[in-house]
Amino acid sequence: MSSRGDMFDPLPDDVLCHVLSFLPSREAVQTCRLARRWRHLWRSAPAIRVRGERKKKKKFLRFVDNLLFCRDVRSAPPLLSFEIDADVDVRIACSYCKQHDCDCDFDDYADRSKVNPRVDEWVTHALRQCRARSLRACFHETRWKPRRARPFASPHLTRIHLDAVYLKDRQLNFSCCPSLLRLDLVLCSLYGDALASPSLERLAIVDCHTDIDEDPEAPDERFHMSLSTPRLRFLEISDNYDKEQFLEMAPSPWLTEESISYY
Amino acid sequence: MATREAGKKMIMLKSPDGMEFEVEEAVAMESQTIRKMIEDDCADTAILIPNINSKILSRVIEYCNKHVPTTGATGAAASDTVAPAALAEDLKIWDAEFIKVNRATRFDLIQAASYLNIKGLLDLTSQTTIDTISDNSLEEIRSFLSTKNDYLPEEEQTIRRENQWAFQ
Repeated sequence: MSSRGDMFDPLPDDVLCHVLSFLPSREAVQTCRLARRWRHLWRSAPAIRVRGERKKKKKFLRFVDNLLFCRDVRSAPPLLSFEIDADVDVRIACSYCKQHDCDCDFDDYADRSKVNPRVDEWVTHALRQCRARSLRACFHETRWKPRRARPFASPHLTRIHLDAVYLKDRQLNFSCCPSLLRLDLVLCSLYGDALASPSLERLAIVDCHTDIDEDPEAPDERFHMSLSTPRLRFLEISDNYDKEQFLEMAPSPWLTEESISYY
Repeated sequence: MATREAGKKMIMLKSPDGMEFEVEEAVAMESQTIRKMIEDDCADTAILIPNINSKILSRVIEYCNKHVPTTGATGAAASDTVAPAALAEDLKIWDAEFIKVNRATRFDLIQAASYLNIKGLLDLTSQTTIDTISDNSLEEIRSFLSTKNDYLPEEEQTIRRENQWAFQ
């Protein structure tokens, strides 16, 4: 440490890392050029925040690969937060002409694209190697369909926020996250009979949909996925879901009419 | 230990410049460092807080006073779920006013929050610092932090090359 009056001089490295974690990760890495002391600090920053735009897809993929895999996994403290906001679709071949670039208009846009599979690798690395405590993953036009059966399995995760993610059957079972306290699902597609988590205390289901929504045979059952969440204390749901139905399910002795809010 | 009101245990905090502050135990325990001292029974008389002068300590106490959970909230389930939206909004406005301080004071507050282990205050001061330096050039950030570039020119080249993926 120098004695030239640097404001951060009296602060230990871990506090500097904490300050760094408030920067988007790209800017955090760039602080390596400030001075010697900063050279490797980004490798231990307790938060990763990355955002990828469609136009700069290639650079983004390269950036996140380097960021995650150059991280000092062994000596860095657990990652407090991993946040990814990615508009990184990959085109899928047309089911009519089998070409990637065609004007057939045969499939819906959603069927012609998927989120880049690198995302699965990143999330797994962040959860397993970096031991992330909190995960926030936001997608755009194309929903992310995690490829693993238990994409969020982690003994460390306490909080998950998913925006535009497609979850099916076993992926809705969060028993593989025994520390999970809070789960926010926004604009997600949820296809399964039950959402389960033995530890969850707070759940938000906002503007999500299930196949039941669109079933003309069952207009009253707009959302009938059951909840298996014995410790749930707070529930927020969009008011296009049936309030009565949620209360009837009584998924937790802690949950009362007052602790459910509707949007 | 001084006890003022029924059920409200008081704690004496002393700054190195000799000032004493009497605060409720619950307020002092917003600091994880002090909490640990109290729980380990190391806090019978006054607690000396080294390195934090009375001016900064009084600001820290002011912060803790505002942020101590209101009565009724049980400490049992320490999840960040209890504060209702209106209260959180009120705190946010209060925080924004609280942190309108000069650069030196803000760095003193970071140091104090770090030593006393007060997560909310550390987050607030860190975020404010980042908001100030974000989007500035390297030189501007160096000047803001009074950091001197101690790299040799050739080292700087190496570092740029090494982390090229972050500068594109």
